[in-house]
Amino acid sequence: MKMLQCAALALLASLPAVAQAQAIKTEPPMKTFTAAEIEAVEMPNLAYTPDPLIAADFDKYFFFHRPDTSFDQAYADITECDSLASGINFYMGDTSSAMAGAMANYGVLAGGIGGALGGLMADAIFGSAERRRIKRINLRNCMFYKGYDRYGLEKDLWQAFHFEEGLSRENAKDREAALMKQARVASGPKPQLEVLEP
Amino acid sequence: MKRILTLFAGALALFAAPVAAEKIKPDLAEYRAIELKNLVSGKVAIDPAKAYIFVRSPQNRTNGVFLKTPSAEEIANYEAKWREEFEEEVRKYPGRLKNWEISRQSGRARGEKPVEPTEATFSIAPIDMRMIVPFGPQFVFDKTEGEDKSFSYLIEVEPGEYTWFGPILYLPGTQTFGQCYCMGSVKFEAKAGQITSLGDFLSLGWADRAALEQSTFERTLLPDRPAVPTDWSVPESLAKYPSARAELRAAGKRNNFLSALVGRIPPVPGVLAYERDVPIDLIGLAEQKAKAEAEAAAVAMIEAAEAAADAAPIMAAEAAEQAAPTPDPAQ
Repeated sequence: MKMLQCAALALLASLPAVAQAQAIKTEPPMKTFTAAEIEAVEMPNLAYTPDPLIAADFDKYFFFHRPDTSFDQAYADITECDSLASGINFYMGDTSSAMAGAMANYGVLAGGIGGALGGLMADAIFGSAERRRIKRINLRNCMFYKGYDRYGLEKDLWQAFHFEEGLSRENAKDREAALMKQARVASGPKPQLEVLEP
Repeated sequence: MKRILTLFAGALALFAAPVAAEKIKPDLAEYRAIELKNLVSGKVAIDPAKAYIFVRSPQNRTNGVFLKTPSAEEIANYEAKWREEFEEEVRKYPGRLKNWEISRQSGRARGEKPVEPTEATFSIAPIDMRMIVPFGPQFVFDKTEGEDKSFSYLIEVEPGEYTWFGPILYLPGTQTFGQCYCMGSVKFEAKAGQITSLGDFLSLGWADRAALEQSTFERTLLPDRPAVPTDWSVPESLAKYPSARAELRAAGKRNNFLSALVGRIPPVPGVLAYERDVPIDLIGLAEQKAKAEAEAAAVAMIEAAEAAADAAPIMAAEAAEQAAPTPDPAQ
């Protein structure tokens, strides 16, 4: 009897958490970093004097920041949005479904490079400028949903911790390093710049 | 027991030999567009073993992609195909490496050194690629003219669960146009022998500007119009067949495997909400709340009954006490 009571009480107490239980999670587990690992990621330079010429390119050169966000969370968010924006596999399927197991076991998540290759055909038709434009729109939508603020940046500063789409394994390493720096910025001190439209 | 196992293994080996010679065929989601003129002429018929999805688009033609939820057999077929391709890659790898080494030694090395395929890193195209059910803009079921101009589509599919992947124009092998609802959408069951109607739901007329603003950062292109309730009805031409309104449930995030624009459907009242980027299943939430409340009520009833039972002997003792008062010690 007491057990039943406890169970019911626990259920009642967790009613606000019920919403959490109905959150449909398909993301892989979040990667965790030690303080030393985070410290080792170089903080990019964000200091520049804004002028109209630089501001005219803010639809191309921008970064994200969200207050009260940990590095781990920012890294997970940025990796997710970057994957979606580039057509790289990221989600594992509903945790309840057999799909999740199939995807974890059968290397679908390792298909990043193969997945991105589909873009080659698109380049032949539209050119890579169009693909970069689509990627920017995708990133903005994804990070907007996640509640990040968008800030403009000067082109050279932007290039120091972002990358253009590329398809080789070498680029995969650069990509990882750039994403780490972006996560450092996104979870770092609030930028002393104007927040742009999402 | 051991003998049975040996026999079984032997039988398997017999089967395995011819199978290995022939490559596994991928299990693809089956679909076809039904046109009213063909239904009327008898060229096609509604098949009770198939399911049908009905879509109406006010004013303009439309197009989109549904994703079938793979069955256990389809997943098994996918896994078998993965295994087959993996084994082939493993077999080819030494030769590839050797060729690359020879080219390098002769100074003609091109490309990167081949990487040994492993179970952890080898992948084939995702199973979602096999589950694509596209429709439109051609092959309309019917169209109506005038003020209520509309184009409708009827798609014959295998019975099962379908997720609305978004207004995408999918032509295999070319650039994908349109937007995937990769970060939140709805799904529904399409039952055999029944027309499952989405009505004009996919056109988003039910979403007001505030809801639309939750689905994209773009503000300039959003229409500012009042929301109109979804019309789930099916046309008169389909009235003689069993039909039902699609029962929508929230669907989670999906990979952008078609390299489309990334988006999500606006929040659907009573079905799908978002906590930042996380899709919330509102029907599941309501069910869970109702269950918790029912359990709490049951516990409260048991407690009340127990309290009453506990109180009964005390009350009886009190009553007995009143009937026979304790004698005065002075007496």
